Amino acid sequence: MNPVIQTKNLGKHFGATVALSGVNLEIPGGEIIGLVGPNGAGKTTLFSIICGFLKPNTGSLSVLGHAPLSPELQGRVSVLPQDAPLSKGVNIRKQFEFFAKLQGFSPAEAAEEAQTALESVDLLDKAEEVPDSLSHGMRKRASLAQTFIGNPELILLDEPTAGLDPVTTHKVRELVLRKAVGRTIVISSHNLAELQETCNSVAILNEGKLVRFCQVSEVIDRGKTMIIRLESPPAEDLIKSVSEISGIVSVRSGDDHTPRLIILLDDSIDDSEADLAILTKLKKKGVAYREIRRGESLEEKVVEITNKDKDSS
Amino acid sequence: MDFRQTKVVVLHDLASAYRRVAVILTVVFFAVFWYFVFKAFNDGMVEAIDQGEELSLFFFWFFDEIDPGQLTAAPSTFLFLYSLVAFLTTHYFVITMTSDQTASDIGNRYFRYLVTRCGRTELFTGRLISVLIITLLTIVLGGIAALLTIGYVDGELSTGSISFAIQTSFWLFLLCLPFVSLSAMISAWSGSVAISMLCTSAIALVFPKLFDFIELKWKHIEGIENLRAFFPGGVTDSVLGGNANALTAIVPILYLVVFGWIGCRLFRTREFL
Repeated sequence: MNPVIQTKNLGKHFGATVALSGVNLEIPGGEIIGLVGPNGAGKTTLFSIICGFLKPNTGSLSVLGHAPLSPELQGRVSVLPQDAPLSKGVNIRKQFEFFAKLQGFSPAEAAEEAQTALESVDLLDKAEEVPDSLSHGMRKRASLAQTFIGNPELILLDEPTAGLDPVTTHKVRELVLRKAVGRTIVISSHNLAELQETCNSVAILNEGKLVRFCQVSEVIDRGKTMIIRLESPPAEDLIKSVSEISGIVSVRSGDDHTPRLIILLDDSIDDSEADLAILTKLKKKGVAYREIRRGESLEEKVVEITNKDKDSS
Repeated sequence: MDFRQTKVVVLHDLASAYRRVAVILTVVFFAVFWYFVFKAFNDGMVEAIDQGEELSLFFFWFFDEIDPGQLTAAPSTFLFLYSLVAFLTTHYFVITMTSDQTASDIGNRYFRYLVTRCGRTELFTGRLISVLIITLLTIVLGGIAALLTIGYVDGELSTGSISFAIQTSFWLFLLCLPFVSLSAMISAWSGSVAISMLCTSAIALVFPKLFDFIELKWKHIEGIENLRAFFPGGVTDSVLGGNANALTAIVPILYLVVFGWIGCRLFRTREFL
């Protein structure tokens, strides 16, 4: 199957600032892909190049087998841009109908498409209102809804849950999962917990370079790792003491900002025995903990991978 | 070019034009301006000019190239004065109204919703056509207001007056074409309403003065004054000077095409940061 998005040695700079450098990426179809990385990693730049908002300085790019902005892509790719408002003076329904008409729908079909899109984000009762009269969450949902007009094959979502409350975030996640059937969705986000729940694959960018592109399940090992969040950073003797427990492969501390123990367990060890042994050690050492969790989170792995990349460069 | 998409853009823009601040403000200022101008005409200015009291001073003050014969050719002094003031001011109103064809939507990133659905050529052309239609409507409404005023004052409206108003509206529209497309070009290049308005207004102001200088500097060259028709805004001089011909109509259309083409190229190749 041909990749939906293929980049070869893609590079972009703004003056002396390198935003992207040598990005080689092949995004397969029919998946939800997360685009992650710290601020300034190049996520939005890569997004903008894929959408045709920006032009690369080096390398090449194909989207659904075509160059960005090709007439063949019109209506087949849709985007939720970051921080781009809908037109201020026009009500949501009229804007959606306008988008649908641009994509080739007749006025009657466009009205139907607008209705379906509004329904999908529970905004039918706000359809006749202008964006400025809606709350931030509603505006975000409206912006998200316009991406579904006309059943595009590729949907690009830049920070779809930024600034949303947990309930709306959950709704957006459910909606994205529902809409992902039969199409490719690329999500750029800092909300890695959401991406972990939503995405099949993840592309990690750092300082303009693609550090890793793989399945989420490859990055996070849910079973073998135990994370214990502590009140204060663990002392060396605690790490040594815990690592002496039978069936423990390795023990390390987290970074300075989040005091914790990251413990890798052997496959053969009984989970409950291990838990008990570790907690006993903590109690003996008088160490208080806040949370015990099995499996590393995507967030932790992304931080680890980007830190490693920084150290190596 | 996809004409269906262009039509969709034009219709959408026309339907939402009355919500645009630039359009609302310009139309309000345009209406207030003409109200006071027509009031001044009826408060004795027309009568004074008819009696020859202020004629020479008036012409000299407003427009030194005017052919006084145009006054006798016009069906009434009122309509003549209307056309005189209209030819001197309308393009400035139009520049104010049409400076934001693409600029603010580039700046606020709204075009990001559109460019994955519609060709950039179609977007640019659609916007340009819609502002040309709004410009034409504004000019026609000004002409209708002049006719209604003269009809109200005189108690009758001759076919000559209607014909004169139509001709004036036609030439005024042609006068505005280069400035509308120049606005479109600068708007697409700069992405800034302020820069677009400032540059186009400056060109509208500077070009006639530039030609005054050229004419003065090379006055020994025979027929130098005829070159004025080739400058943007040359329509004013040709029509008020009584020299309007086919070339007077073709030149602004050529400017429209050239500026529009360059603007379209800039819009197609620009990045949306």
